[in-house]
Amino acid sequence: MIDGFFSDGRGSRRMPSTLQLAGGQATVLDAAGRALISAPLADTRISSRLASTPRSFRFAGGEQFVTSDNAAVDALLRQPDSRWGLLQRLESNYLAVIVCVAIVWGAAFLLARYCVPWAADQMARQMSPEMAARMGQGALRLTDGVLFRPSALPRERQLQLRKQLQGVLERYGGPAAKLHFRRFRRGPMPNAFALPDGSIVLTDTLVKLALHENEILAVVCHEIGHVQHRHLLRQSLRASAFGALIFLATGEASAAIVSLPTVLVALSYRREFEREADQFAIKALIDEGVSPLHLASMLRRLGGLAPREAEDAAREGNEVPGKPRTPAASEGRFFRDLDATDYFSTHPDIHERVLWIEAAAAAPAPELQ
Amino acid sequence: MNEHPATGQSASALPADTAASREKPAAAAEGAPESPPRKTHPFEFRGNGLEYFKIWIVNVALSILTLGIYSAWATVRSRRYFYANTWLAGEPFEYLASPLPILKGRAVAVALLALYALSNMYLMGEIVFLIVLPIAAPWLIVKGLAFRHRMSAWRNVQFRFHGTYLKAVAALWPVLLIAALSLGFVALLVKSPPQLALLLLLPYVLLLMFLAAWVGFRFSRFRVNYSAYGTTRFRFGAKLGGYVSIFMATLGVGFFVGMVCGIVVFPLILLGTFNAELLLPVVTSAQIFAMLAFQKQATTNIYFNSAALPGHDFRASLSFWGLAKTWLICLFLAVVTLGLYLPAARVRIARYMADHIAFRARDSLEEFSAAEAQRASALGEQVGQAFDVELSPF
Ligand SMILES: [Zn+2]
Repeated sequence: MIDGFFSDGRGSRRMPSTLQLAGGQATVLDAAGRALISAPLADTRISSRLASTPRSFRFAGGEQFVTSDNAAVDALLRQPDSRWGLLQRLESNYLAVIVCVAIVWGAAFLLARYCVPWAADQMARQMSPEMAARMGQGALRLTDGVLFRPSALPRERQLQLRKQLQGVLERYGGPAAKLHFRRFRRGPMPNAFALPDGSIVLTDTLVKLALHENEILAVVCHEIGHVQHRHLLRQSLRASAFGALIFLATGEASAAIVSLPTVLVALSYRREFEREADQFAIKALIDEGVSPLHLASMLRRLGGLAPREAEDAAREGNEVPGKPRTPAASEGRFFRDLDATDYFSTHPDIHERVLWIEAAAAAPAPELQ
Repeated sequence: MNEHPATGQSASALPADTAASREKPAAAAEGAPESPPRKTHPFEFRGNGLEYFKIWIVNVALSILTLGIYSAWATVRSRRYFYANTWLAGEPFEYLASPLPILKGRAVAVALLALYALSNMYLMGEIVFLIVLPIAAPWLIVKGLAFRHRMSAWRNVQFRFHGTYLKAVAALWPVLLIAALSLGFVALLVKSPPQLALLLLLPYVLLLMFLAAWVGFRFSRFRVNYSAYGTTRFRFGAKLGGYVSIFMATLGVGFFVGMVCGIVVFPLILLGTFNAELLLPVVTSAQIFAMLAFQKQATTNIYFNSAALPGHDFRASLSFWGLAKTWLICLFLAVVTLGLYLPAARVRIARYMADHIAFRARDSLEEFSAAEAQRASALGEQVGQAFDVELSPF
């Protein structure tokens, strides 16, 4: 016998009552013991157990019996509906819950590492170049308002650089490639960007930091690599695809956020893109008859690393003369390193990249094919 | 993790109670028998964060393992949990939907979205976006509400939604104006020099806020006026002015927070301890957070305080600090637990809402009659509900 409330389905009136089960027949009795309804249990819809929420018995005519006494309902049914009973057991078992957390994190990791890059790159491939370019239109104009000032380089120097770099831009960058000179509003920061529409931005500080014209050429080749491989487009597609896939699979937006550990995977996308751009640059430089070591030496200076000779000397156990850092890099204190306009933050893992480029330059043929 | 949230805040539910009890002698003194005193029934949320977390993580894991098919069952279980733990006058709400119609609706919705994505890629995406979305959105909203109301019950009486497509279009058309204005403004911004753009920003934001208030008002009125509990229709008594003042006050809150943060932060920038690019996003997030919290509590209050059934009404007494504190606690715990707290955060927020909303009944709660029995839903409703992501009955 289960205590609960009965309602006839015609209105909000309910009355205290009890439910009895005898011979497969469910009978609801009012306080005076009169039968309110009686029907075969097979014809009533009994809600499955969900934590400790009330259970309802629904009869064919819309009548309903509700009770909070879950234990009594389970005992009465004795054999709880197997499917739903299993869910209830899963939801109340800590080991099962821990396994579920592992499943969610594991699936999110696999998704972020393998499925999302593949799907996003497929989408990027489907997109016409005009469409990709349209996505980046006005990007320079918008950043001009916030980040940049016009370049302070002398006109002649700008013209000279444009002339020197025109050939490379035309040969590797395609018709949309354009060169822009800017300086940061905030102060002297060496950096270079590629925008989705093919624009390449060099800051004054970067131009001045270069000790050799070919170092600027090398940086421009690296940025053309970003444009040619559509890295900005692919990165933004990957970023949105992850959330979308999780949402599709679970119907829950919050499930994507719970997979926060996969943000670490997303960071590795950038490393992959930098490697691709470096590879592109090395190949272009070799085709141009320029040593790829120019890219490495420029990166060393940008990253505030010691020149190659000093590092080799240090590795061989010789004395390191001081700590040779460039002025631009040595002003990078802790908070500056978090700054989004710093070359470091837009190009992480510089040291690893430099070593890879130097190795690739030493043995170009097998590494690049 | 599951203690009663903001114990200090639940005291602010009291004004509604005392107001109701103060009404009693007044009404008796005037001898007005047609307005007997109202009895205040606070809503109550009895769910528990850990309990829901376990349900939720099983939901997500099974959804992933079944490639999304289980998500329909997951949704039903989540909604059932939130509805069944929301109590009013000693009776729980009930969510009645079965998973299969939800699965069907979701499958159609995914197919439609895929179609939309494809059209975006091969046709002129903007045109599809500008034409299909305004036509489809009101339809999806009406169907989604109809499904949700039909599947919601209290005391074995289902809710109903009587809104039509055309009424929804009429309620939502200011959104189109907002969209057009925004597109125009962005185009203007890109073409104009930065100084002029800054000058244009303030009137643009004011206009946008006014339009947002207009949409909020029209949509709330549409939603309440066409809702019914059984055969009893709800009425919505708010005025446009109420919504406009809320949205303007929201703007003021954003401005105030920006100013306060500016006073604190500016010396730090001048001293060179931190730089502007690092701190500005922090200030902006604080502004947006404060504005969202203010707007949410104010619109929830006006929504419930203006909705009524004949002889009954609601009293909502959410406070800015109470909601902001609840959200901040949730945000902090969600970050610390790498997001695992999110399901429990939903429980905490549902509990805060329930604690600050009350139903004031004048007559007996036994006299509502049920609408014609309808449990089946058309495919349109099933598709519409696929875009409805709310879990709790509020
Ligand atoms: Zn790069």
